[in-house]
Amino acid sequence: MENLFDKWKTKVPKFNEIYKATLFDSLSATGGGSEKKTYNLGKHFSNNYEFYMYAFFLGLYKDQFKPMDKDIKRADFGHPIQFWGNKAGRIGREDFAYLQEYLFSAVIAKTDIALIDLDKGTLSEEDAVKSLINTMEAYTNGGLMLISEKLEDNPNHFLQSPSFLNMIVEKI
Amino acid sequence: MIIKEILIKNYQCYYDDKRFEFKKGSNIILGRNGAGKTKFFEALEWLFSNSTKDLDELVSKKKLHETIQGNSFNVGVEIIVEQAGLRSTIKKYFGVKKGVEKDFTTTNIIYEGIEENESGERESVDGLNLLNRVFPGINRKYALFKGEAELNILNNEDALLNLINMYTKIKHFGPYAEKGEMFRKYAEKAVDDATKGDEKNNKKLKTLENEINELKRSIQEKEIFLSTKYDERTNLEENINGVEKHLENAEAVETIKKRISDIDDNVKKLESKLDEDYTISLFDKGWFLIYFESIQKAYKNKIDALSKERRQLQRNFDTAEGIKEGERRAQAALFKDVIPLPNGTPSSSIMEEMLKDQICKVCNREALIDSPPYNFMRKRLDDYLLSQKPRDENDETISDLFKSNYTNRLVTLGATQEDNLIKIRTIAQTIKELFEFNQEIKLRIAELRDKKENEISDLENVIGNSVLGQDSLSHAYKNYKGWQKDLMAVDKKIEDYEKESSDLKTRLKQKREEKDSIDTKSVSSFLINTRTILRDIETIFKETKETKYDEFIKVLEDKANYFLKKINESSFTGYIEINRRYAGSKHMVNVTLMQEGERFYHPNTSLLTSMHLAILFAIAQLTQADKEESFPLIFDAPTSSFDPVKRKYFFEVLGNCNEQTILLTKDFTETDKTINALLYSDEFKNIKRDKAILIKLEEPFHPEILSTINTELINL
Repeated sequence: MENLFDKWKTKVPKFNEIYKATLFDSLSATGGGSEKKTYNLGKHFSNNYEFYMYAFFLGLYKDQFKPMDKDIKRADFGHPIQFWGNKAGRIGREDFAYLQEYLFSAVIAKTDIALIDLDKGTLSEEDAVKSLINTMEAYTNGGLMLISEKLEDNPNHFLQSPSFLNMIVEKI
Repeated sequence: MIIKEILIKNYQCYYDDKRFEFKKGSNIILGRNGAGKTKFFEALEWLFSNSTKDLDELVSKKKLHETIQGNSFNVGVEIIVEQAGLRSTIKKYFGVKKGVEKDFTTTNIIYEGIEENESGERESVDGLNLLNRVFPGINRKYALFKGEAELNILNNEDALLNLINMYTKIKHFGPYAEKGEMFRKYAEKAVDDATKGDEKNNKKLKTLENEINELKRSIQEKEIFLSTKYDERTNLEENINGVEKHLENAEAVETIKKRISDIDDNVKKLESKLDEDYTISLFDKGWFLIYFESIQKAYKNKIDALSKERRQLQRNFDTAEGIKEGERRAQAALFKDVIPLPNGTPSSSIMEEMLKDQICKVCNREALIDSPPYNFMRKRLDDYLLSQKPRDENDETISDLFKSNYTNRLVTLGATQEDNLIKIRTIAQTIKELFEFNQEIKLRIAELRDKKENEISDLENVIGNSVLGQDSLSHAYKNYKGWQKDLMAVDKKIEDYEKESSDLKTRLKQKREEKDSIDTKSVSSFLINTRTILRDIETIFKETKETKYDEFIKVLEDKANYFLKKINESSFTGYIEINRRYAGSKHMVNVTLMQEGERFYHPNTSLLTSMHLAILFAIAQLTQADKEESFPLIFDAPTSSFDPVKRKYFFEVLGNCNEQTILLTKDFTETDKTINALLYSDEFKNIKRDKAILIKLEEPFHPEILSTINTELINL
């Protein structure tokens, strides 16, 4: 049986490069060290993909669908979705790979594509996946814009431990 | 004896000849720090001592600097004293010859004495002899006192004997006692010798003598042990008493510290309960899904519609293409316009279960074997199983409307996520509860921290109320417990030793009586009577000596207390108690400050100093009464700890003394900044004195070059 999810999760979504230095590098850590240590260094996310997921859900819930212009320079962190949340062996953390399926169902729900054409064979799998990734990138971009605005207003906004959660939880 | 003049010559800061003239009563030498007071004192000490060492250090650098190479000069101290109207001069000096640059050589020490006889003639005599004659060593011992610490003259083993030896009226009792002992020993020996003549008694006597000697030795040993233990007890009591006034604080410190440590432990425990990894929980606990239900619903709607559309298309397609199989036709007829459920719904396992039970659990009706409902279910299951088989390219029965089936997987995904909705719906509550939990923990931590703040401020108060710091208080507390234990142990030991000693004495007495009885039987009554008389004489001499010593100590004590009251007029003094005690064969003196029959522990320095000064004045007065002669008392900075009131009384005592006193002090001096001159203060105008000399460094001098330093004298 054909599986769009399996195809989709091999992809590496991109983001606007301007957020690489301003957000990704400052808020998420890459490399070794325990999760606690990471947090103590002021890095709230222990991986770039965690921050990416955060930005996506934020954009999704706040309905910030902001597709990137074509001429915008894009960046990625070379980590396909299928490896996101695979925390086996990381001390102090739980595996959350199952969230991949939710990301997927969210982008399915929010992407305007004729899935029936996929079964018919008139829409290629690759094109369908591309649309899904575009949706994902658009919501992520929207989330990143929101975070960036918050930081511009107050550079210390995220120093309090619940601030990232609050941003997700608070009503618009 | 009084000191008329002291001449200091090229001695350290005293360049060339510096002549101090003194009067009979109180003489005060004033000077700031570094002016040369201590050097003056040391110069006198050097004169009175036999020291011949380190001469190089005594040479005035200024004199050396100014002397031409090859030239010589003398360095030394000269004292002119007057005794019974006759003058004696004692000089101690050495020569210095200047070499190249800073080099120089010194000669040996030379003592010179010049004595004036009654006819006024002066003759040269041996300097050291003269010194010992006019100012005996024993009296010099009680003449020079440097600082406050040296005033405690009775704090050494020979103190009592030295004291006794100074006073002719009691000193002669010592030899009487010695003689008495000697006579008794002779008498005993005579008796012993006579007894030994008797063969029969000889052996017994020897055994008894050995036993007596052994007992004496044991008693002496016990006395030494006892004396050590008494000292130990005094020290322990002193320590315990010293700590006791801090003890309450020390205990409080320990208690508060324990409470603070408990608070810290509780805070740590609470902190470990805090779960504030909110961001991490978005991932690990799936909190991201808090608002996912609407998305999930949108997804489901979309996929349901897709699935329905696909099936509709399939049906339309099937109808349009014609029914190739009878069953498919029948199915089409059965459902007419209704869209059948997708294959695999319900799942194959559920279908198998329903067939086995012969019940359709979807509509909850019987479906007996071969009945239409049973056959319907059987067919749906077969259709599903068929759809799961790999497609045969040549199978004409398979439709080619859909080339793939992505839909099925999307449907399954939707179903799985729907099952998870229950979990998703609890996220908001979980977050709320965790927030509340953390809030409560934080509140409790904050309360504990407040409590800790209070404890710390209590601790600071307790420490602030004590002269000891926190560590010292803790230390004191621990020591106190140890000392208490030690004291009990020492008391027990003392009790044991006292008992043992008393037993030994009883046994010694018995043995002596036993020996005496042998003697009595075998020796002539003349020898025995003589021995008895001589024993009595010894006892009388010894007891008389002891009584005289005690009387002397009592007089000393009374006089010391008189001076103590004088120096400390209108302030608390307590009273001085002087006791004799034996430590083995040594006679010692205990000086204790008492109040209301109890020892007054830890008097302040000025009270302690005044106590020692009082004893000194008492000794000086007793000396004068005894010899009808007094010796000077020379003090270097004895009153550093005195305040102006006490200082005034002290100088009053000093002024009323019959002895000559020479006192060096930095008190009463002040600098007038406007004219940059050294003055003495108004306080000094009211100080009773017979002579005052101000010493100061000659200006100008270079603060870093010793060869510019010269002390000059100003008679006030």
